[in-house]
Amino acid sequence: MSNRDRMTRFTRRRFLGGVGALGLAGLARLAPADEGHGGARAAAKAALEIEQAAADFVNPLRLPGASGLWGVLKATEVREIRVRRTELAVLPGLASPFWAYAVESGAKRFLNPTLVARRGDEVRVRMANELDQPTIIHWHGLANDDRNDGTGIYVAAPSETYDYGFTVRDRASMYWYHPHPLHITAPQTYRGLAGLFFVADDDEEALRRALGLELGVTEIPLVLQDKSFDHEGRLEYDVPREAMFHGFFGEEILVNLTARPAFTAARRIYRFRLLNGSNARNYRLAFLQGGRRLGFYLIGTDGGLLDAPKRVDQAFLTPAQRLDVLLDLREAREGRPVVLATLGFDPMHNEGAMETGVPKAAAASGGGHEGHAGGAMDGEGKPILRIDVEPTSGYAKKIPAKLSRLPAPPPAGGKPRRIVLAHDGKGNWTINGWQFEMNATPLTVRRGARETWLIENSRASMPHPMHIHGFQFRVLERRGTPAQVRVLGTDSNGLLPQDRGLLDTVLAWPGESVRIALDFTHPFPGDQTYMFHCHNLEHEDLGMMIQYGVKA
Amino acid sequence: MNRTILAVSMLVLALAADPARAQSSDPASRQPGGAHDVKSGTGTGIVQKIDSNKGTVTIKHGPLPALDMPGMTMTYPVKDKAQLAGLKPLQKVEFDLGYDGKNFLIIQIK
Repeated sequence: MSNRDRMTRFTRRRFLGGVGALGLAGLARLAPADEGHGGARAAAKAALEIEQAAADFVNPLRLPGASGLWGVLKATEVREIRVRRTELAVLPGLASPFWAYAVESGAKRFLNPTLVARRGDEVRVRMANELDQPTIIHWHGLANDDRNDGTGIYVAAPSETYDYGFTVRDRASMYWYHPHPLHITAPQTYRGLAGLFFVADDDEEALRRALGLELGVTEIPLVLQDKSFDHEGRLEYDVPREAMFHGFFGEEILVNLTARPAFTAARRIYRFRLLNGSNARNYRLAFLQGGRRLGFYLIGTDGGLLDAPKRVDQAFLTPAQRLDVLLDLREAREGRPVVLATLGFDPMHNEGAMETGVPKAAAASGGGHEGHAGGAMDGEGKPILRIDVEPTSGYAKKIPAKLSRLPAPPPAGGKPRRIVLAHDGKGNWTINGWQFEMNATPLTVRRGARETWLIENSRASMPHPMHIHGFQFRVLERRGTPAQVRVLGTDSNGLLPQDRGLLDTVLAWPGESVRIALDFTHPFPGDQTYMFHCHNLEHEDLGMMIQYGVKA
Repeated sequence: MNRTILAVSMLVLALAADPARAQSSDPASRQPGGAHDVKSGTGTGIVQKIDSNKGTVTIKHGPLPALDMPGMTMTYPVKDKAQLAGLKPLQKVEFDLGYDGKNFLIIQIK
């Protein structure tokens, strides 16, 4: 056998071995997302298989504490954020190169601190770039002027600093911060740069009092990120240009940078603040126990609390989106863990490899929806977090019927502005045919205008999580929604549960049209320039992003 | 479900019944047999999955030059199932891998 033949054989074995390694969890990928036609039994079986796969989830979930990784800090007390390379044992006991937002405050050291603020707070912070490449922090979801937004037009070169100064004006919610330099956002975020930014207000504090919630104890942020590791346990990001067309799909789904995590909970109400911090992976989230989905309450979205809780038993979560949920573990049975999982679904990579300009082999190997060998396919059913429930009692609080006053969607303003998502047949994703250009602002709105945008994703496409900087919006209608998503609709307009709140990112599935309402009112003087882009970070880096202007 | 996913799913179905199918069916028969042509090499990697019943371990490992193997993720039978007892998923391991021209077998793993 020649070396070449042997290598070919090993490559094939590698693929087969990788698929074999999926084992029972891999089978769950086959579960129908739509449970019609007697699929309920198959769904229960798939759920049990996912639960079984969580048996080896034993690593204590990393939580925000008084210092260190995810440590909690008042945003008003942070003076300097150093963006630097460091080391972190992402896998237990195995040091890995890791990029972090490092802060020193009161003789304590923090990595990717969890920043907390109250509406109205003034944030004054200097970012010091200690990387060997440009970077900038984007305060994702916060409505800032363009200089403080971190659009990527303004960046700090290596060894330079960038000063932010802004007032926190947005509703209480869990926002986040991450890099946004042009064309290198995906690798920088993947290598570790991401942190949470909590905003509180009176409604928020009333809810915490009513349920006895404490951040990091009974109110648990869950940052979902999929990562791959090399054979030494170091973070690995190897995404060639062809694979960027699909995005990065990692081998392990981490929570708060914990691989195969477990969390011990009491029988009471927990609040989980979920962020999809993955580069490209969508999740279909559910809490499983004994083959059934537990009900939970959706109470908030990207832009804060809903007006009232909405009981659901699953929800899709697309990159950059957040979900605020309450899980009442008094409803769970004792003696068996509850498993937060992503259920199997069709990931709808329907771009049609023959027409994309991406070689077929590249489309069907590492970085595509099959993921890396041994990794998790996009849309595959997998456990995410094991929750061990202790037999405690004495908690008698109830979920409030009223949470907040959610502003009504702005009234529609004339004919919708059409936004078409497609690819150009040459391996590029486009927005109305546009690709990012530094000196182009192909879309302009008037400050104070109320507009309706119709985001139309082509049939030969992928799911695109579309994020707008500078403003939050409301979803008015979905059309052409795939059946696996449509079954979660809550009204005749096809709105999903999270569409009932304020969003800064919305997922448009292939063939789907999403009508959204925007109010371009803001207090910032002069013309402002923001970004509108796909938050599949590899798509963003490839140029699926445009600048849009807000004319004063 | 597109054709690629269907194909991969069918492979998953086929292989979930026996993850070591890419090698052979009976661990007892996988002893690198005969005195000739038996090679072995030492590798390091990260444990992905342990199957105590089947006596297999899936490892993402680096190259094994002695066996002319590149780095890969692969499921291997172990010579002595008892060696699996001390292993945990995502643990870094060093292992000796034997190859008789047909089958692989982990001689030792720690």
